[in-house]
Amino acid sequence: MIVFDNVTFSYPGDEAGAERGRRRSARRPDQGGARAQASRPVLRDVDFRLRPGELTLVIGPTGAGKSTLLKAVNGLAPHFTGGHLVGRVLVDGRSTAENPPRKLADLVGYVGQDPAAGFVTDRVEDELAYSMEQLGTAPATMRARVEEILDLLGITALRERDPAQLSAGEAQRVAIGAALTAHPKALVLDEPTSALDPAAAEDVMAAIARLVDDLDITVLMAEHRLERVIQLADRIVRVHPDGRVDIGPPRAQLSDSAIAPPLVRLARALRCDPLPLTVREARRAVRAWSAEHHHPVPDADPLVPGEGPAAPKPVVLSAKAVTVTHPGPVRAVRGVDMELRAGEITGLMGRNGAGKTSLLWALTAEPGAERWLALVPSEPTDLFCADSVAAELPSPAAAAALEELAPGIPPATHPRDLSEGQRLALALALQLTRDTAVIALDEPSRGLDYAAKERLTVILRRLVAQGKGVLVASHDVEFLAGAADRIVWLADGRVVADGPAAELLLSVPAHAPQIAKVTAPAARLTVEAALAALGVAP
Amino acid sequence: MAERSGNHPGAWWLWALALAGCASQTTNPLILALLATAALAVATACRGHSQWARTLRLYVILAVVVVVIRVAFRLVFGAVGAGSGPVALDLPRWSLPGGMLVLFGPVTWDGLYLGLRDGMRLATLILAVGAANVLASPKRVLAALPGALRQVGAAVVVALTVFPSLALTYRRVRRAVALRGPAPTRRGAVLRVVFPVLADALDRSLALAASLESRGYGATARVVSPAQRAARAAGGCATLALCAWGALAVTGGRRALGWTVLAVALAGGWALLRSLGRDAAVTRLARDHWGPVEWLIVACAAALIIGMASAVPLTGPQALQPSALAWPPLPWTVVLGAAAAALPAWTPKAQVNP
Repeated sequence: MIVFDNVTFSYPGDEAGAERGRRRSARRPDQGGARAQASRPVLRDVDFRLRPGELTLVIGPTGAGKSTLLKAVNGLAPHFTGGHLVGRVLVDGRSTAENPPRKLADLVGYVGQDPAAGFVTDRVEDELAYSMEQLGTAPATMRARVEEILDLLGITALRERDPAQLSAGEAQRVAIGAALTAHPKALVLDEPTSALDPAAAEDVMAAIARLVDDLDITVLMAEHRLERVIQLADRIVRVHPDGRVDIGPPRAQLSDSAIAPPLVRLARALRCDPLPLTVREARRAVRAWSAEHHHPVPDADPLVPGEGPAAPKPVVLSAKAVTVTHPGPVRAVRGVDMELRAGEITGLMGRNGAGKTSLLWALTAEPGAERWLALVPSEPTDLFCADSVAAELPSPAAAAALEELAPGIPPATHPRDLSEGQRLALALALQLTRDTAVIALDEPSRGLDYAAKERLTVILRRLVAQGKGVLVASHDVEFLAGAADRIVWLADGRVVADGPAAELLLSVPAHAPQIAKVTAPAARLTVEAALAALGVAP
Repeated sequence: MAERSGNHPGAWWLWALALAGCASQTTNPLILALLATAALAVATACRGHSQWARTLRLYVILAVVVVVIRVAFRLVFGAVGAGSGPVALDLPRWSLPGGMLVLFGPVTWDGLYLGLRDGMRLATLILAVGAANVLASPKRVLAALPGALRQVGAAVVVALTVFPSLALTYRRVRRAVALRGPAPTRRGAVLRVVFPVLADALDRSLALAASLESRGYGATARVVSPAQRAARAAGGCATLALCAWGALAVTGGRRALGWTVLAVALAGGWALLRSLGRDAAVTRLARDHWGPVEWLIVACAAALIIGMASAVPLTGPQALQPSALAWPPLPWTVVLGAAAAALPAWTPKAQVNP
């Protein structure tokens, strides 16, 4: 269905010293990380073919060229992004060399990283029909298919809404629906769950699984949070930092991959064979391991040592009765009381639209807040105003922090040429070194691979060790399981729960991290904790 | 064809054009105030919750600014359009070297009044167009265009969405920039906002263009040879020229000939659009429904036009172009017409947005 025939892809001006010329050329800014390291191709000798009806996952470190690979499928790279493609990409026998993306629209549905940026119309129904209208589908067929997709994705209630006003989860489903109505044979998705809470991500994934079953669609999907998608994958394409690519079945690919979900890391440490990919398989594997090694799986025991009632730490931030209203009938935050303690990382959880972001911004509204509060917004790019990374960094400390978070970014790179993950790293470096008492982060793990998330955790730990208070709004459960000490749970603008991370994360199965599900009823949140309980060195 | 909810955008545009047309025919401040009130009343009552609906405030601000500027002009160039009557404000004259331009000087009451009238006329036009924009999003109007214009229409829509999104981005960026603490210099502070806003607008339009491209925008367009294209361009120019000539003939007194030429030109233009529309085999999901409510809106607009047209025969030319010396008259037909124009405020809301 999708064939990559010895494809090598490079962006123009990769000769040394062509920095300025590269800025001027027509290129999308979101895979810049790969581009920034000049004089080497983003993708090198890519050679694989996807069978019809196969769901393939693309994994790779932050900025490795995953988006470029996806864009090459419908010809957006190089027709739209610029750049130079050697080799052939064929979709259902049609080459992207002769066919620009619009001529492949009947074959390939493409959903980019930020679906809301791609909405063309002002009604969901029109949005769903847009591709079909452009391809000249008969109106009766169009209406039938719009209904079909509305039902299939469970978005019937959104029919009349303005796509610009949808929540992230709704927007993602509408974007996928819009890519599907023209009945393409292949669907390309760039990080479909990155902006979604666990429940919404599950909904979207279930919809995709159903599409593969019902419509025999070939899916190629890039995703950083493997734990959300791995059970669906037929094969995995790994993009290596040098641009080489290999493809294989999930177990084989994950057995030695640096990018692996917590479950797989646990199983690798226990040397399970075959490698479990789902929570169910992992539970069985761990039980089999403990039977074999005569090491009982620990039962429910008190929380991880050291988490007991310690002396209460000083409060660095106290918010009382915070209410945020937006134009319209909905109140985003309704009377939230919250305390933030020094030396503690507090996680702010809740579904999409629960009011997390509104609450964070409400904190900054306090006069003089910039003196004691540093916020990293969910759109980190808004913070940048210089034309190079070096000019952006105010101090050597910030430069050092950036080097630690995302090593090897050339200082002359334009901030908007960085990959999503690298941009976040730069924003973090700018804000974390401002020496404020409170640091707040909005969705910091978006676009970061597992290693980068771990480095972020280390940095945050170091900051709280200096007596600062850290507030992290996120729906990345695995990240919070490793980082947060305390969780504040928002629903519908109210605090519904507030307590130690372990207790809270375990009490809600839908939001429990994978390791907790595997080791239940024992309270283990991270791979390291689980391994320690089993007496295995990580 | 399936139907959409909400009133037909065409009805709202006809209504707004009637308002705007009537406003352009008069300098009577009382009538202008009535028309502006009607436009505002309907726009506030019938707008939905879309992002377009929220732009009404912008039009009101623009209208006020226009009035202020017109009056300010009278102050600055008071000596030029001096007019007669009592002096309101005796400013010292400022002659620029060479005597080409004289600034300030005595400002008369009727000078100011004339400025106010001019400003109000322009402001009412702005409010009428703004009301149409608020009530019927330009996207929906463009979707109702014939096929040949829809490709152009899509480009216009993309251009139009830039402004609301630019405003949103500006607010977001200003908020974000405050997070980094005070900028070292004033220039730095401005750059900190301007740079990200522009860069973001660029990114957005690129993302939108990529989306259009990958969703098949223009995929079915037939390839047109240069000769065909030239012939079409010539046809378009000929149509426009005939229209212009016809309109000139009508106003110049040769009515029968003028109307005939106009009709022929319009028919030719319509045929040309239809043939162009066949190039792109683009289909439509649903059409806007034209029903009783739409007829009612158009009837209200017609009532306004009749009320305005009958003002001069009934009250004399002073009705629409009052002198600056007396209190302007207010013909009862115009009052009724304006009331009719405000009637659509009681029609169902334009868009149902839960």
